Amino acid sequence: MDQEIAIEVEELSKLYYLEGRRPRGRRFRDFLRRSTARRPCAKAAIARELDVGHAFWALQNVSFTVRRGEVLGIIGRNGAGKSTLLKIMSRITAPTSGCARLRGRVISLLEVGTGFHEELTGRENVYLNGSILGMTSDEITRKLDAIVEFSGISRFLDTPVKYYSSGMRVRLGFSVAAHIDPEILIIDEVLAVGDAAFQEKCLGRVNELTGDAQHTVIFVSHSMAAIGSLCTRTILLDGGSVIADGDTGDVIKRYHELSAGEKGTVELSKRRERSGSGQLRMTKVVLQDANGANISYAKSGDAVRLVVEYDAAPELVGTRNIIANIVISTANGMRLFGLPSDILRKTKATIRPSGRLTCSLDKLPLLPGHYGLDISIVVERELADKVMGAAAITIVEGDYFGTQLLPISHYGNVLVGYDWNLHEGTH
Amino acid sequence: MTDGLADASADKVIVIKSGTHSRWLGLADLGTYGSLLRYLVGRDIKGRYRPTSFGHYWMILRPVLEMLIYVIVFGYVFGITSQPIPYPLHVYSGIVLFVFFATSLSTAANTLTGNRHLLNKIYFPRLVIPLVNITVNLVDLGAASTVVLGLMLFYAVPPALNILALPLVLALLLSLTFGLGLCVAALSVRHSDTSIWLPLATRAMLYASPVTYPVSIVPEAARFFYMFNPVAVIVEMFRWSLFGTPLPHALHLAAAVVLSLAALLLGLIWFTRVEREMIDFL
Repeated sequence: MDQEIAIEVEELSKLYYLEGRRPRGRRFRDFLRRSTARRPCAKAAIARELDVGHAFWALQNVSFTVRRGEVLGIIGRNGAGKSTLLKIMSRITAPTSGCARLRGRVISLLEVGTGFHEELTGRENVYLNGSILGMTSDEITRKLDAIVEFSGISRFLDTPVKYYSSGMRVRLGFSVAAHIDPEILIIDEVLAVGDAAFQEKCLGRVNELTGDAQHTVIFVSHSMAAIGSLCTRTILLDGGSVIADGDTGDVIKRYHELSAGEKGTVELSKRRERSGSGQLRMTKVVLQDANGANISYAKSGDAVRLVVEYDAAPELVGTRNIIANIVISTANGMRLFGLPSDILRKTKATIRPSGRLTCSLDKLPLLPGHYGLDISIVVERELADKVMGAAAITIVEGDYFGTQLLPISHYGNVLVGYDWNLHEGTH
Repeated sequence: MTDGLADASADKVIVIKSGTHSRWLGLADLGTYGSLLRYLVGRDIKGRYRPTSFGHYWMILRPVLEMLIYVIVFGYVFGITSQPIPYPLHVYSGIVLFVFFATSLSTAANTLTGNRHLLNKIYFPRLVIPLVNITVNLVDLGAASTVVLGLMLFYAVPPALNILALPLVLALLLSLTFGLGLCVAALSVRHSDTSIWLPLATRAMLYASPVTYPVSIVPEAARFFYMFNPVAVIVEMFRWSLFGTPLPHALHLAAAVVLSLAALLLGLIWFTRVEREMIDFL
């Protein structure tokens, strides 16, 4: 039973036209011209449209199978084809070629609260939304109490939805969706909305569904944490094709490599925008993990090393007074903190003709995102080399606090260790 | 009560391919979406008049006001009369059907774009949308028809026995209107020009049908061709069934039946051909 195949996708492709809504070949006059020989002309037309850049493949030859009970994650950068794939699997649009077979009742949640009507009350919208998602009215009546309780907005059930806040809509919408019992569930990013507590509730519900090995789930998200905690297997899409399919951890790694672009090594020797005497010049910045292996990105809370390699003029070689400093800024240029070596009373360096200076951080205190590094080296109280924006590092979600939670970036991008005591009285 | 949808699709394999059309024009699939149809109709009927001051009275008020305009312009100013039934009743019995016909078509052109957010997020047989549209308009027709009875009482026009044939007349009207509505909807997917020329076309149809004037006003020589217009025949049949006025010629009746059924078939085929990829163009 558990080896049974629930979803088969074979060579699925989808062509989209960029210019206007209507492909040229479908206009009335073209239709008249070629209504005699359709097939070959259509193919030629596609090739022509692709050539001049009016058309592109949103999906190209995507194939995979999903066993019953499996939770499959789909990740990819923006425009990778995730939404198109979901739309085809949800039968919202048809593929240009290829085929997909789904066995069982399919519910797709591409949005919560789809079809809510502003003028109708919450209760009426529960029925409307439920029937849109394929529930019968008896089924909804039976589940109404559970739905309302899950949403936590029972007080406003008879208020028209137009007076709801966006958060209330999401709550009600997801509550309806959470009480459907499909065999195949397709979810697109819907969990990214609502407050943290409600999100947790939603994830819990999805976990519950997937726990019994009867429900097959396809889950698309930009949140690697959610993918990591829910999915056993993940597919990585890029440019409309599957470029990785396998164990979630490995695929997420591939995804990060993809979005980080280059490996985390930046050449500095040819960089021109720099200041300083030039007696010592930085040649390279390398991001490494605690074991000294080069990495392309790091997780919040990871132990990392920033290695600065340099070439020095012969007269500088030997033991020298030095101040090395790295300043970390957000992607929009706000300085967050510096890592000057002299503050640690490390002021003596052994300068070699080619050497390296290594800065270690036990616990990377940064939220996920991209950060810029400004690096400067002062030798014998004289600025030897300074490169602003020397490198950019990519930080991805990690478990800084050991709680699998990270604060939102609204509070700032820097993480510090802290604790709370919430049990004391004042007397 | 078991879950109808799950039963229906328990062991069903959904095959998604390019270019495959639903079998039986997707009609078999519709059964499981009955409650969706009901709720969408409810949403449209409840939601539509909710913010207005007159609320659902508009369903009756609108055709009555429309009738008053024609009675004043054509009856009073131009002096058109109708025999044997009073002119206001003649106009209203025509208006009621015609408003159903014209409104159904014009809403059919916008109903797909209007429900874009649904079509873009959820799967259901796309035929549900035009079905909802025609049903909502049918409810309006039912409400507006009550005024016909009121007017009959007022003018003391006794109903004819032909009233038993009324369901047939309505079936014909439905078939024609729904069929043409499907064509219009299918056309509007790729040609947004549709909503521009459609009001002109229905306006032309208004004057090409005996709504605001009696058939007897049409020149004798042209009348034979005039009555090949199925809307004209249906309006005349409606009056025949209610008031016992003369029935159109058998040839014209046959033409109207054939045209209405042809419109329905054409509409269904055309709509199911475009439904699977329509969202890419809306």
